[in-house]
Amino acid sequence: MATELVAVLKQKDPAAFEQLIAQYGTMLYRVALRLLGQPEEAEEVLQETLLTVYEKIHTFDERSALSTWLYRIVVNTALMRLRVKARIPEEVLETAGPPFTADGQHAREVAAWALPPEETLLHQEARMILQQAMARLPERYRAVYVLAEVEGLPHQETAAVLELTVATVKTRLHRARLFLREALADYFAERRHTSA
Amino acid sequence: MMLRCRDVVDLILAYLEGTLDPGERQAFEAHIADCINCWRFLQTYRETVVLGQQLREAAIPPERHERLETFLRSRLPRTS
Repeated sequence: MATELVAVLKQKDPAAFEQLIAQYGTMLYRVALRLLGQPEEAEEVLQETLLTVYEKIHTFDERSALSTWLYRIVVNTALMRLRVKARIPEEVLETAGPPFTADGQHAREVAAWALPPEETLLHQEARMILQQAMARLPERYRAVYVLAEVEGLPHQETAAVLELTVATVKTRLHRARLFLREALADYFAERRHTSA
Repeated sequence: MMLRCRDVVDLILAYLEGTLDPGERQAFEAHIADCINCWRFLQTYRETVVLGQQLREAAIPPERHERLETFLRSRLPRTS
C-alpha cells in the first residue's frame, strides 16, 4: 500500500527506497526517457529524483497520491535538464494542424495511411519517427504529452502533476498530437513517393 | 448544426473521449460520413494516438536497475 510505503520512507529506511524503485522505478524511468530521449540522461534524472524523494519526503502531506507527487518530481527534474536544442517555438504548436480554406474546409487532400502490423519494420520506423518528432516538442507540450498519452494518466491527474487546468491539458495534448500526426503524415507521404 | 472541417479537427479529442453532447456528436459523425478528408484525418489521428500509447512499453533495463540500487546503497545513509 502506498500509505505504508510513505510511512517507511519518512523513516528514511533504505529498504523502503529499494521498494520505491521496485514499485515506481519503471514508471519514473519511462517518463524521464520519453522526456529526454536519452537512456543515460534518463538514468541520471532517475537518480536525482530518488535523492529528491529522500530529501523531501517529509514535505509530502499525502493530500495527493504518491504517484502524482513522484511524477511531479521526475517531470520537473527532467525539464530542468532539457537543453534548448532543435526545439520548435511554442507559437508553431499554437497553429499546429492541417491548412484550411477561408470557409473552414481542408485546403489540401488528406492522405490516408494505415499503420502496418506492429511486428513489422515499418511500424517500428513509424514509432521512431514519432519519437524524433516528440524530441522537437516544446517542453510544456512534451510534458503533457508524455503524462497524458504515453503514461495514460487521466487529465485530472496530469493537470495536478503539472499544476495546470484540465482545459489546458486537453489543448496542449491535442496540439501535440496534431504536430506529431503531421510528422507521421510527412513520413508516410515520403514512403509512398519513393516506392511509387 | 453543420460543421466545417476546421470544427471537426477542433472537436476530435472530445469526440474520441466521448464528451461531445449528442447534437455535436451527431453533427460530427454526419460530417465524417460525408467528407473523405475528415474521415482520413480522424483515422490518422487515431493511429497517432495508438503509436504514442505504445511508447508506454519501455521498462528499466536490468543493468540500469542494478545501478540504481547500487546508487541508492552508496548515497543513502544506513541505519545501524
